[in-house]
Amino acid sequence: MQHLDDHHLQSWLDRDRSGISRDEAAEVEDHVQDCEACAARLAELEATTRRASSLLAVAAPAAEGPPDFRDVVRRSRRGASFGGGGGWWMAAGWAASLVVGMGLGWLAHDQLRSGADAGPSTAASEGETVVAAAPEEESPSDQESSAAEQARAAVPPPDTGGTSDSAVAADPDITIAPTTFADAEAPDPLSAEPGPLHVQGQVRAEDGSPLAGAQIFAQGSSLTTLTGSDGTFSLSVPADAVAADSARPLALTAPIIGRVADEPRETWTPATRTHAESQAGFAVLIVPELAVLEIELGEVRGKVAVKVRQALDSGATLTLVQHRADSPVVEPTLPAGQPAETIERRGVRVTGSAPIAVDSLRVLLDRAR
Amino acid sequence: MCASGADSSYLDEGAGTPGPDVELEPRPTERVSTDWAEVYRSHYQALVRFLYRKVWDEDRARDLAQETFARALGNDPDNPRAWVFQVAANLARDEARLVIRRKRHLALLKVESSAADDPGARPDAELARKEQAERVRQALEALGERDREVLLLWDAGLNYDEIGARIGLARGAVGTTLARAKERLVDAHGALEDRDAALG
Repeated sequence: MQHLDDHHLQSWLDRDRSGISRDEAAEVEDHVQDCEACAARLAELEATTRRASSLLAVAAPAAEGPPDFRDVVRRSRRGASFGGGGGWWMAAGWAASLVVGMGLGWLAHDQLRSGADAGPSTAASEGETVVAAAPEEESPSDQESSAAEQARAAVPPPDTGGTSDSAVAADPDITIAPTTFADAEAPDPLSAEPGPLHVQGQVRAEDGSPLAGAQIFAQGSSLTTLTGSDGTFSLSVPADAVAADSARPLALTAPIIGRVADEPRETWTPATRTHAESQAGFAVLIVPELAVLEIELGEVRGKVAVKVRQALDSGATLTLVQHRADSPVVEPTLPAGQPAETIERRGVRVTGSAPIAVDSLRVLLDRAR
Repeated sequence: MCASGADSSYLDEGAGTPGPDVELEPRPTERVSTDWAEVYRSHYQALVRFLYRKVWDEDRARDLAQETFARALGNDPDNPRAWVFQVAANLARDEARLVIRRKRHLALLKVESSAADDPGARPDAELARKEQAERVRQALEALGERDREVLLLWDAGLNYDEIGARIGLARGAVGTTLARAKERLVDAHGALEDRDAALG
């Protein structure tokens, strides 16, 4: 008599999920009735299964109901994630979303200008509102425990010949409340005493909640700072940054906050990001102090969209991404033609999956590893 | 909105060839139809258990489980359950590679001082339980990777097709592998028990 092998017996034991057909199951049952050896083996396997299950039950965490699913949603939306190896690491607690800097910067400028006469202002042109016109200078990102109060020289390339844009759609998730900048206290430069001007304010999301880690550019200077965990910031701008053109008050702008989406990109709507990018000419990733992001490289019609990965250890706090076609990627800089696997530079890791040249980066937005 | 060709930009999602200006056109994605909330509720526990047997840390297992589902949103796989376990396995594997860095991160981010000990448990019982859990852990380690994975997935509730797909086994081989894996686990655990008993 043909005996049943373990495959049949085990499949019968797991008949609710082994895919065994009813006929096959009946065959097993019939056979086992007549065959002592197989019956014994079946009993053996059954006992082993029970034993194995109880052992596994010991090596199990305390049963806890799943946390609220909304936590999952929130986590997904803010892209907070971690991973090992080539995965994406990000600390919890930061949120970023697409915000149009263009109209916003314009608005901010407008509000701060109230009272001051409509003098010439480089910020007036819509194409450049969000750009801090500053000479190119880079300061190495170093370990700093509190980023919020520190002004760092971060240099976005000058946005020349700005993209002419009208109203830009903001990401519905989070926007920087325009009134935030109205709250900023900026002394009248004309009457200000010589010495640094202190500006403070708060960046809020549309629902009023504070936005941590938003970058504030002080136009007319290369100073920038990040908002703290409560969304507030303060910036000390040297008086001569504005004194040169007394008709142009200090303007603060918050640049586009790009969503650093976890990969894969299904949850990231490129159009939204692109749209915002095309408006202002660049996108800036806001990276709170303890965040770790992943870099992806992509071509945005000659512009480079780069999401920056920065290791927590480096303490880097913000990185400029994306540049216009005519200005190469400043940070990080990729050697032309180098197939980018992973390039680490100053604690910023750039990962790509296609050959990359500085002038024309290919698309890597899908499944960057 | 920039209209000029020089300044318009869009995400080039194709092979890198700039196409027409489609910046306002969202990337066509299938509508997510997987009810992830439901999948989450029904499989969270099993996933945590599965992950726990990989990272051997309750909190990490739960966090990884959350992370798995966070990443799931927006996807619409044919088999959400199997997909979730796949992602989780990958996360756990990647996690293992970066244990050191993660610990540093966590130290900076937050302090989770207390372990998840049940304060109500008597210390003796707790110790005994931990010892036995440790034995099971060692017994699991004694299994080959394939056997172990098959066993853990089975314990998580996946069916033979799913297990086979995950491991790369024909469905017909899953039963045999399972039987063998269970026997090996029980035997390995028995051997450890004997060893511990002998050591007193």
